Amino acid sequence: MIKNYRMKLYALFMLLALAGCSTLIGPHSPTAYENATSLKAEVLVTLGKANTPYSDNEAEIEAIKLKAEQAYEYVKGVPKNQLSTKQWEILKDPDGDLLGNFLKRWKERSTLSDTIIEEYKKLASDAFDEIICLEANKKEPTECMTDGDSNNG
Amino acid sequence: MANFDDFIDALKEGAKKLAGETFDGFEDQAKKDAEDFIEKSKEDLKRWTKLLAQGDINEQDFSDLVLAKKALAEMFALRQAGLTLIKLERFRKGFINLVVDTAFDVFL
Repeated sequence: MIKNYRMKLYALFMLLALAGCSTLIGPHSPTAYENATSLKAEVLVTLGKANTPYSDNEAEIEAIKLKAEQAYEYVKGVPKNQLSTKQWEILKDPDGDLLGNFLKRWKERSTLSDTIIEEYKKLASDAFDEIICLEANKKEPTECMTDGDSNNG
Repeated sequence: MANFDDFIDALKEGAKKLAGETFDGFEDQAKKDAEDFIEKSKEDLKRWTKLLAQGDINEQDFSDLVLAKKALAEMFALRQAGLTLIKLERFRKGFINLVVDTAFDVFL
């Protein structure tokens, strides 16, 4: 009887030890997913306008910068979400090599060539897809598609 | 003591099955994702080199694109790390349920 009680106690201890471990990664956030997918579309449209003067698009550019900052702050506030937060940091960094550098060159040169615009659009699209893929997989196993994959452009 | 041994045996068997279900094909998929990323990077570099040679982009553009690709590689690595954690988290939750279910089956 005592042995059986000890066994139950041991099983309970194991369970509590496992359940007590903190979550390894933050939960899926529909808002974070929505922010990433909608901003992806807006960013790609705005980048596509880089063959027209930067000054003509300044309001739109500032709007996407603000939205990217808001999306970053949102994911940063989700517990155990360091990986997604870091992804946003890389994407939105004004001194970074993705959106930041593209907007810097656009401002410097006033307009950019269609060739460079198309190349950056592919990179920006893939960058958003990395964020979207991670967020989607927090909900359920989801195959990740990027611009380079056959059925996504 | 038989109950305890039964519990451990059932737990081992269940954990093996759970690991199989949770991680089945994960390593292969991770390898494939990495290979696809590398292959895409090669194609991009080839295309950018050609654009540079043709004068469609300048050296600064070329350098910018390579650095942007490097930033994208960091984001890809973060995604892969995240997918691994998601799998581990699913295993952890599944194992907790397994301990509960097995204990109920064996002891109650």
